[in-house]
Amino acid sequence: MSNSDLTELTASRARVLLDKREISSVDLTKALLNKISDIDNSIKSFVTVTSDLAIKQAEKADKRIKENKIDGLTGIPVQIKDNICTSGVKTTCSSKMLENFVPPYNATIVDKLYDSGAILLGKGNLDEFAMGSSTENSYFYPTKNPWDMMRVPGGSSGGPAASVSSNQVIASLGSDTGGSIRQPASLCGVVGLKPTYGLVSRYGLIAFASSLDQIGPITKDVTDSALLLNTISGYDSKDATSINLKIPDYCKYLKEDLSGMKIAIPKDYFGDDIDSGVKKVVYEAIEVLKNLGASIEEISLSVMQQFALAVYYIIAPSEASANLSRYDGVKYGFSDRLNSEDLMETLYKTRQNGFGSEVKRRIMLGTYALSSGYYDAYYLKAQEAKRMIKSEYEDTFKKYDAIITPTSPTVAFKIGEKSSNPVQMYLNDVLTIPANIAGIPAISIPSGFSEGLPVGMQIISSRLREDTIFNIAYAYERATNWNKFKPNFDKLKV
Amino acid sequence: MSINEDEIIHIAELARIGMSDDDVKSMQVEMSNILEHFEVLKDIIVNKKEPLTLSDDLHSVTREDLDINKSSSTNDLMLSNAPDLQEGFIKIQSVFELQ
Repeated sequence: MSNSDLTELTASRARVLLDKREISSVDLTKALLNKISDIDNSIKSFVTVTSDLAIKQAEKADKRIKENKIDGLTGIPVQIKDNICTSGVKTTCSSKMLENFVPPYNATIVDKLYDSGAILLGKGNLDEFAMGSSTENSYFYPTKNPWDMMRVPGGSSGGPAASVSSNQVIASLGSDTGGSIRQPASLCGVVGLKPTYGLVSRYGLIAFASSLDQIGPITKDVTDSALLLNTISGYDSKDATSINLKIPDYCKYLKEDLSGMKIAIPKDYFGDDIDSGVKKVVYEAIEVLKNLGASIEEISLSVMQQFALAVYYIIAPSEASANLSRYDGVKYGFSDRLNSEDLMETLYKTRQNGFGSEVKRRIMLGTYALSSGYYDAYYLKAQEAKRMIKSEYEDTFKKYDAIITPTSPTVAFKIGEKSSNPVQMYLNDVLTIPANIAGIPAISIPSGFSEGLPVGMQIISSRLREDTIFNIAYAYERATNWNKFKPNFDKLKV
Repeated sequence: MSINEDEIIHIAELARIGMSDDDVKSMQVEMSNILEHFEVLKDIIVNKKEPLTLSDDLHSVTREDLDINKSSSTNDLMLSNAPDLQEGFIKIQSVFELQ
């Protein structure tokens, strides 16, 4: 098999070939490392490439396969977003603050991936501390969209989405606080799943907004999404919000029949603020679902449409302001002590010069919303609105199995187009935020193109109903094959 | 709702973030723009003051007070991230003034 054939493999296809000994994990890993060195100078989707570690892990995986000790991801090379701790491998959050931070421990999902025999190719670029929707807030460099190098890949998991889209990795792991897996997946034409809050351990995910953060897979197709979720989900005593339940084999929900499936289309999420090209694609996708047997009804979700964005931009920064108070220039990370006369000055200067502008803006917003005199006006009202949003979802899911919306209001936008206007940037998340607020699962899958750029459809279901999401997503993918379209790689060569 | 520069300076102190005069000016404009979008919440009546958690099994995470046998190399790795060390301890600037 040629190098380019190897890099095109999905995890499920690679699994078959590895198990039949038709390919080796070392060959697969080397092909991907070659691809990374060929094209990532221009895409910039990695912060760190772990070539030596990857080869060593691949050799071990090949040995394991020979001994028939095969698990779901044995020998499959993946990338991990650089806000997920990897023992002995730099974990920077794409921030100057953690530029040289080497975690002494693995996140639980990293242990699970390694135990399964997955190979770490490296760490994916992100908006600093996962705050952003374009990966332009990375301290190191913005990541480019493989479909158009003048455009952003979305964010904050822009590195993971761009690497999967350009076949530099088989799959990647991202984190999603307000859309950070789904929106870049949509903009890069790949599959991105935000699981139910608590289904995947957050231990070792560097905290941004703890009540909203969730780790999930970014993959080339829906089958791989289920395959990765099989490995990373499950109870973890180290995460107080981890749900204790038996994890099913998610691959068994990959079915092509949608008869009996009731799907709701919220008209509030197809308004004037959504690009007409995006709406057209998603309406066509809904027709496909109808033809597959699903019943479709229009509904209204006016509460979340009205409040979700404001709720998110109060709650997430509030939690961020507390979570990021640990960066003090003392224990680890950047420290401006040499330019400071005393401990207090070190603290102020470290945070002034170690954080980028978006991170500071959110810490300021959160500190304000939690401060005396404003707590009642902002934070408490946001919590109440969060309750209202959750109950609007619960009412909807009494009657319907799933909700369909576009994932992002636009296709990938130009680098620099929105970076000077924070509010405009925040509006990117309007369709993805509600699922985080309610803690429910949602996926973005490729659904076609507008202006030559990928459009994602979002499928949302109720808590722990990943089965419904996989069923609809898989049936749609099999009927359309939009995931098979790839950016033109010749243009990507340096 | 807008926020003035004095409030920005106060919030920056609470957040322990140093700011130049220019930083204060631009932060004032940006935060005022953002706060305008929060106005939609002003008519919401708060009924319940308990925080809304999304996990039904929320529990305190503690472990037994046992020696978990972490190797000294973990210690070294932890300490190697500190900006300044002395004799195996993290070194900081003095907290108390010398009399």
